[in-house]
Amino acid sequence: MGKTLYSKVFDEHVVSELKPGVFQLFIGLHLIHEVTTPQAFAMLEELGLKVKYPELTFATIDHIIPTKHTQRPFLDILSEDMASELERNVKQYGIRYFSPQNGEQGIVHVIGPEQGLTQPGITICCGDSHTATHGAFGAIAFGIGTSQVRDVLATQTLATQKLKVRRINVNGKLAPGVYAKDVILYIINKLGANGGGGYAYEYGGDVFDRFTMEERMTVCNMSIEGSARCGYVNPDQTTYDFIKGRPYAPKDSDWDARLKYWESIKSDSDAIYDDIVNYRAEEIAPMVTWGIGLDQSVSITSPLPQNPESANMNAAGFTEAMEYMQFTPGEKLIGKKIDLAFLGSCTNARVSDFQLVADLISQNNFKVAAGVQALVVPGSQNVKVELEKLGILKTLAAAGFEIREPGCSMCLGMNPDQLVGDQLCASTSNRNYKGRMGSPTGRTLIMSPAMVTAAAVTGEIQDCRKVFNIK
Amino acid sequence: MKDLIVNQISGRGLPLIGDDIDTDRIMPARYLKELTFSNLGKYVFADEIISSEKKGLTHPFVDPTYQGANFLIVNSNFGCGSSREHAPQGIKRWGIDCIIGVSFSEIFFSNCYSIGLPCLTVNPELAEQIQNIILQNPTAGISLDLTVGKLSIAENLFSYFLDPGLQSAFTTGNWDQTKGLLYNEHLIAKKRQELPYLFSSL
Ligand code: SF4
Repeated sequence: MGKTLYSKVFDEHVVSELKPGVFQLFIGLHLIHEVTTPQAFAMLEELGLKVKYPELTFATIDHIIPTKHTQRPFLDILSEDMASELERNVKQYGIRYFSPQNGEQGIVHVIGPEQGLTQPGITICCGDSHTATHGAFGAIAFGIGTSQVRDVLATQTLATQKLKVRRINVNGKLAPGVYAKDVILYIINKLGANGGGGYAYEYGGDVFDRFTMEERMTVCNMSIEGSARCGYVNPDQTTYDFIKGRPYAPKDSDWDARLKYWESIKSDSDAIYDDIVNYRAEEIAPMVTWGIGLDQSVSITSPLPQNPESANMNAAGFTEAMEYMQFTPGEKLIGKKIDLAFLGSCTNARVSDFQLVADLISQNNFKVAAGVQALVVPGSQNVKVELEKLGILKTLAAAGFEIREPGCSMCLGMNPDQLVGDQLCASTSNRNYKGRMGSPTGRTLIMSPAMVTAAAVTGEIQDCRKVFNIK
Repeated sequence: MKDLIVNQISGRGLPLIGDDIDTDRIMPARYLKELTFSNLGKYVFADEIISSEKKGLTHPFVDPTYQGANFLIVNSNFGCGSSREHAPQGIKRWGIDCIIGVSFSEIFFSNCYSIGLPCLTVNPELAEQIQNIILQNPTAGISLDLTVGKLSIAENLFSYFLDPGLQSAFTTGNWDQTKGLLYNEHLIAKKRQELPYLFSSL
């Protein structure tokens, strides 16, 4: 009987069975950021404990960091306190810190892969629900709360139950103008925001075999939006090529040994899954969310649902979402005026995302539409340097995009980049929740970078395939 | 250990109606800037409270009727989204000792467990029924005895689910996991040796 990658990697890391069904799991890589850790370090101190293996924890700063006025001290006192607290903790405990000063800072889920830390067959935790991003490499990666961050710091382990595994196959070929973001929005639409409870998602099929690592990361990133605590793709040559040569990648003779391990943890061809679903790539069109949950989405060519039944929602939830978004059931999203376009976040802020944007706008000298603010926020300082080198930043700036320093930015309202009032934002981030972008009435439409670019240059929601003549 | 025991809880309920209530709503991001959890009770549902007011409504968390309630009754997928422990910390510090609902996001559920806040699951009809009982009679008494698995509301018994292992962890005060994890120190060191990979900071 074959095993899944999830099962193999989980078993490899079990330290003990604490009580029936609850395992003590060794965490091979612990990533931390400024927001969910200060209380964990405080608890550690209170308990008189130390960080057990400081060399297995890596830190960066992303959520609160301003993307415009980055000089210290930060203008916001609470943010400054939070940054100093992180700096104090990493210093006190000897934790490696990817800091703005040494040019290695960025969104935690961009940094891990960039440094070569994110590898197949390892367990990864971070006090952040988008840790699933790292599953793109065939790792078991999931988000934890602050008390569990404390546990990982103190013991390098945590108590957890084993998830079931749902295999999600997407076979066939994606149509031009349809991207990884559309694939995950489609999957969440089909399985529901609640559908992944108790599951890890294993993504596979032709589409994933062809995907680059960046595309796999975009999909795995949003597993949690479908309630799957972790999502992953089996590693292959694409994975290994991405890792090779990065700072923390295995070197020389270590590489071959590690490669053997990576190959060994792939799901067996006769692996038993708790559930399998199959989708056809051809059925997927550019997707847009219209509501306040990630399964409240439509393909750009469809009108909004007429009623709760067609949206697969209860009446109260449907009305609440429509009212909050100021939309009318049955209307089309195409033509809706936007106030902001946000290109960034751990879902879509890597070099390839901005490369695509630059390619799209340069074919016809497109400019950001009058009255629209369009933000470009690279996922890390290294991404920014690369974009600079490739001339992408110049192209984007010339077209009217505002280039910022790396960070979470508009994705969540913890730094100065926030919506005002009920502004409507076309965004490449991952959450459209009420108030997510800092304004209690702010409205977010989640879509692919190509779709956000189409919105930026036309000033309204449009089909990227039409705007950029993608065929 | 004794002060960690969670076995009998009694008091009143607060019904919070709606599916998919995410942690951004429970604890808006701007309150995550506090370096300690101690003040978070004040910020629970801060934005929802304001937007309710604007519509001339009173959010249950500020409704005088429910002040002092310690059972929170919710519907499905409660606490979805961000992993912020600030959400359950805020709910607990507001005064909630137990949450009853149809389903919870996993991270939220495990965060609640980590801070000794039991989340009981009930079927959808039952959750609505309990909410209705409280809406009609906000002072209806609720009592929960985890040692024998008994939940009663307004003198009626209701069945709920809580994993037996977790249930006994609450009643014995063993939900605080750090100690149990530390106990296996030698096994942790052994596992670290055995793993086919290991990082060291460059
Ligand atoms: S970019 Fe957004 S989703 Fe990603 S880690 Fe930052 S706040 Fe979280």
